[in-house]
Amino acid sequence: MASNTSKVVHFRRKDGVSDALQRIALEHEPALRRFVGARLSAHPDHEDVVQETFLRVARQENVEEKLSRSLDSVRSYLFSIATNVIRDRYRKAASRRRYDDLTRHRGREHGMESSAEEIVSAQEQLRNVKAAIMKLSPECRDAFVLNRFAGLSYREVADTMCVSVSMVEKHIMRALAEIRRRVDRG
Amino acid sequence: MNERTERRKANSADDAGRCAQWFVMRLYSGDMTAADESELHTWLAEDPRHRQAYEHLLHLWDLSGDLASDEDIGALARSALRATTRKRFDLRWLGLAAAVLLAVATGVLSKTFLVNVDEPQILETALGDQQTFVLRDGSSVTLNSGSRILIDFDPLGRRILLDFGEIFLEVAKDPERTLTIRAGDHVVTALGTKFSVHLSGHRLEIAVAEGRVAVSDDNIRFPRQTESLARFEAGSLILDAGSVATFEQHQQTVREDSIAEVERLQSWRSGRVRFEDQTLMEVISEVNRYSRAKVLIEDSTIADLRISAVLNLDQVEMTGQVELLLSSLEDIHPIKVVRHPDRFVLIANRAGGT
Repeated sequence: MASNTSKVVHFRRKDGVSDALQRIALEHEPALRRFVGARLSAHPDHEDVVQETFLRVARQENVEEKLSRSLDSVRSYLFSIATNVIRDRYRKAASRRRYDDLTRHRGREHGMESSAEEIVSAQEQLRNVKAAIMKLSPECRDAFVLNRFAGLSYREVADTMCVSVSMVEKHIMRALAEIRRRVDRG
Repeated sequence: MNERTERRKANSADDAGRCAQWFVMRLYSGDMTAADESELHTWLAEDPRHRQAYEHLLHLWDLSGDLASDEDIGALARSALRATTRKRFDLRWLGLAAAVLLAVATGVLSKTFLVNVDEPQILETALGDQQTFVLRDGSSVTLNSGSRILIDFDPLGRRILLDFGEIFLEVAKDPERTLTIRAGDHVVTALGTKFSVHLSGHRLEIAVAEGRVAVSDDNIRFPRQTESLARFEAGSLILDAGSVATFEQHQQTVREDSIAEVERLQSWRSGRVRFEDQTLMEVISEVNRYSRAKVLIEDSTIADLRISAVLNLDQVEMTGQVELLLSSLEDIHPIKVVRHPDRFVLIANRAGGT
């Protein structure tokens, strides 16, 4: 499933890509490929996503500054860009399929939803996600919010909150559990 | 494998949702290993409900990203950042010296010196001290507590002998003159890279933050392990960024894609040492690297307790950081600290009943 082709991403000067980016590509490319493989386990075009991620990074402002942070911060940043690439590509197709899966899973009638209903459902889900976050315990909420919305890596969250990384990981899992419970309950 | 994998395996009997939570959390840690990845694919193939749970959770994770522009969520993020700043100020209330605040404020702990390396020189640090030296070629070397090196640069090459202790290097590129570090009977070669080397008795540990290094051995060529992912070139072991290699007697281990571990091992550079689920024995032997007042474990039953903690390094002894760490351990674990003028002795706290 996970093809281990080690194709090195190559940038030409005219892409306007700096040495820093070339270095980052070398350092994080295997991890990024693994990340994309795990996110898109059911799709074949991992390579395109990896390439597009690096190209998007290259187009960002203050690339040099963003890429000069510590190893885990840069990786966390790359993963968030890759997530956006994946979302943009599969938003329509995947949300349809996931929604069908979900409703089937919950034993409702399926296959009849119109796209308008789908949009309403997405909005309702988002409201539920927000409600779940607001109701988390303060420590758990801080950890999740710092990671998801302040762009801090788990280690940075741990340092900021003066707790261990494994504690942060527990908070993240707890937050995911609460969000899922809330959304599934509807 | 590692602790985390074990923990997940223990959970695998539980519902698919909990496994999905673990995988999504791991995925975004940036620290997913090849083993985690194959475990994920195996788990997904086991049962269609696994994939459903996983895709559903990824969808919710993605969806939560849309809240970045939400006012309430934005306010939460800002107050989370503010709250943690406030917490740091509270530390002063708890009697912690202002020096900690200073370290937080400046983010700089070690002093920096410019070193002329025309002649071989010995550089060393006392216990609890850290120093950064900027060398003529633009490279810099930071010595951790209780370390000694000999620097010997000439037109033919750049050589550093690590006598004992731990150093972190940022090596300036110079294709003409490679930089080599001799530590015990190993030689580490670097070309423009950031990494740390820690020699303690016969145990050598190398953690690579950036670029690559090559390690070779005086006595024997490295055995070519079939199951290891490690690569060899011309008799040298090649370590990529994110790798941690340990050499001990005839044992060698290489962990690739361990950036969290690299960050942890090099956390002393930012003024704190972080312990993640390590044995009390490991924690204490690390603490003793920074403190003149030694900590001793006098009860083997507590040596294997699993500990997560943070030691602030700024003026370790003056600000009583070791004592602070020990009393926090006393609170959570069945440990009793017996305080002597020149040492701390740890024994089991049987009265605690935990």
